[in-house]
Amino acid sequence: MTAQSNPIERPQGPTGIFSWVRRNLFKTPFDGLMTVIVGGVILSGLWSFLQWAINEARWSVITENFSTLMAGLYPTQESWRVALGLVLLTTLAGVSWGIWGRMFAATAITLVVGVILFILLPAADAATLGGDGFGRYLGEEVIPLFRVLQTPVLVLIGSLFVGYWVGRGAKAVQFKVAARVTMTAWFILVPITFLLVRGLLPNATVLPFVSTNLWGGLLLTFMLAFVAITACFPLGILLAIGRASKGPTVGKLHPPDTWWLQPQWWVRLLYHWWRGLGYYPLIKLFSIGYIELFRGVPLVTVFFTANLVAGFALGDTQVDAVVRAMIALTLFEAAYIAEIVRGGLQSLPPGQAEAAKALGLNPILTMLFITLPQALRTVIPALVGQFITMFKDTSLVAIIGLLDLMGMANGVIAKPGFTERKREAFVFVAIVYFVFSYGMSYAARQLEKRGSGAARRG
Amino acid sequence: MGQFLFVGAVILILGWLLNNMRIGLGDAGISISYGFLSNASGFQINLGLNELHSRTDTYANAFWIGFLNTMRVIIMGLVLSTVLGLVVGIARLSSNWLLRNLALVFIEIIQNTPLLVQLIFVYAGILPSLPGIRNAAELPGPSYLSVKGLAIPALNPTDSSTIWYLLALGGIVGGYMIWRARRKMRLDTGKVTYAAEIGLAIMFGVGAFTWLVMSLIGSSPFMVSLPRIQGFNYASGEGAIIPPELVAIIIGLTLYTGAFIAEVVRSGIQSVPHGQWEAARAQGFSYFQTLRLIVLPQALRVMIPPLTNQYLNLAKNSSLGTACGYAELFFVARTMSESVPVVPVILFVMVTYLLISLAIAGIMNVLNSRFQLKTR
Repeated sequence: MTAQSNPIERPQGPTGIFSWVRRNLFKTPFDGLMTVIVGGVILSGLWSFLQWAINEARWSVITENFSTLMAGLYPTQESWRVALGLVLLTTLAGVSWGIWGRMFAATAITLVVGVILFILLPAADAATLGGDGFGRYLGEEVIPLFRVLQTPVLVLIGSLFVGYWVGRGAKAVQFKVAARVTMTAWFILVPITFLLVRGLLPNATVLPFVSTNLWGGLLLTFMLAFVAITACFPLGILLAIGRASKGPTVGKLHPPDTWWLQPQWWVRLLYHWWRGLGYYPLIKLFSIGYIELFRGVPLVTVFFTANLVAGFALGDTQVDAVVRAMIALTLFEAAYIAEIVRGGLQSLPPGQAEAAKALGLNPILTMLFITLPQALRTVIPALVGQFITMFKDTSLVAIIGLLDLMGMANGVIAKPGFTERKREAFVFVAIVYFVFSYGMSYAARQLEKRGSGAARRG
Repeated sequence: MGQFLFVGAVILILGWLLNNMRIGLGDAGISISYGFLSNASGFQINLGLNELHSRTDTYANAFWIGFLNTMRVIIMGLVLSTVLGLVVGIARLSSNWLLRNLALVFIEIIQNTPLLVQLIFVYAGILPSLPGIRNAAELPGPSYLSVKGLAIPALNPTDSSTIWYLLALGGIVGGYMIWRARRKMRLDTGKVTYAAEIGLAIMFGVGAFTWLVMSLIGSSPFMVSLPRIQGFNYASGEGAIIPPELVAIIIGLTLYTGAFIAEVVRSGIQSVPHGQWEAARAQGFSYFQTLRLIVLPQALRVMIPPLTNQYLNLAKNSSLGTACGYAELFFVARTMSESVPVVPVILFVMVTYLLISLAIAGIMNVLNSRFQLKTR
């Protein structure tokens, strides 16, 4: 022990499982009581769920309707296009993860366990499980579910991994280039996927057109979310800029207490309010009105309007229900995005814009290269949160009768033979939504942990 | 002058849409006016056993019923989800590993699945497996729980209710004033005045006492009405029956909003510097006293703006009651749109939601300015 070593060492508490239990579960009598009660609740809840999931539930409602739940009426011989689009997007997600994220041990273990589960379980058949009782139930109800899910799950996890390693490799070579290429790839890939799924012309030999009326199930959910996310983003930014636009500083008026009795004060106050709106009062007013209007009404009413009223308002240009829903979702969510971006713009110190002005940048260049990039960087977590909300919000199209994942599930349980299988269908739907939105929120949290300015640091 | 071009474009587009709409509606022989409001609607709205709106009632009445049903859900949801959010948010920061992680799992599951799925899961997946009316579960009260809903005892007002309301209100106001006065006395002199104890006792004691006295002299302000099972349903007009539709939307909205409020509460509590906890504990405050008197009041300042957002979301999400057959405003509008022009109906509904949102935002803004730190 040398003199330089830290004279005060932090006392190390006892380690080991018993002391952990003592510290974390039974610190005080009240704590102990809570542990016992909560533990009991968790155990009984888990027990009854497992009892139901692998003993009572009839998962055939999923296995027999799998393709409907996934893609609706999308023609089977064209379904490779959907699969290809999904694989491309997942790979790109993996690349982004490799570049900006980190692989945590827990995540890797979860994924590997999932892979093993999905390789091993479908291989088991009724014979190895025993012919009766629980084994037979497993063989007839649970294993087929895994068999149906095997290919999609394995392919998706596979492309995620491949993308991850590609991203890691690219990051090691040239971080800046890799990041820029990936960013661009996102903006290119989304429309490409859209075209791939939608097709080109009705009678084309390559990629024949598939009407959006035929889209359904998870495919429709994804398409609604992707189109709306891509389209509402620029619209939201424009609205945010419109609302945040400023003018010369106007001082404060000090009206007398009886200003409402004096018409000349009405005029002065009105003029003062108008001056306060900045250089572009009309645009600002429009932005404020748009944002507050859409944020004040429920999404279902917007969908409902798009579904019933827009048919009249568009005149001879007829747009089918899916596209109308996409437009409605885009217009609605743009208002929310605008508020988030505005928050980012307001959080910037004014010195940034002033410095840019001093360097001779005009307002447009200042916005494009100085304020907006910094504002967006600070609000990435909030934006991703809104995107997750948007993904979940797509389920509301089921209320106006579109057959997205939720609408399809509603349709499936109305079929004869499946009317008693509502829980299975909804649990499946909930799990699908959970996997994707948890994935997104996980990614957002990683970004947040690294500080959302991570892209700059490399 | 770019903005005039912009405004011109907006006006052109809107004008084009409106003109199309005028022509389209004209071709379909539909006129846009609210004249239909005084016509008989031809549909009925039931909530459990209660017929809230009959075929011969007007459309205006249907709107009103829908509005009341929406407000019922919003108010119940606000209270319940705040309580749930507070409990889960505090549990999320508990030193107990099990409790902390249970809260986390609850929040993650609820936040990452759509509200619509949860609602329909509760309504179509869970509630139908409640016991049938014949073997309804009997709870203390007596209350009954069955597929037909939850039946609880009800208090029906009598002739003397008005007098009691006034007396009880007087008690509450008086108790509050005494509370304020005694607290001021305590702050000024440092004497122990039991302000909250005495104030609360008066606030509720006056009501309870007058109720007791009034029932002793034979004119009780309320008649207790107990629910009863009759045939294949609850007996009509006896007890209060909460139908499964209302149960589903309340449970769904409460769980969903509660999970989001829990995160608001958590981040609010975490925003209070840790030294505040330590200082309070050093002064001998217990855990819950620290939370109630030191931490939550400071956390509230940070919490109110995001809380406002959650309340607004709850109000808007109440429109999903439609999915489980609860006759709220949007449900009524959808039913109406089958028989009357859709444009005025949807316009009316949107404006109503807008006003509800504005009202909630306004109230919360007032609260916010009350709670902000006063710096001079």
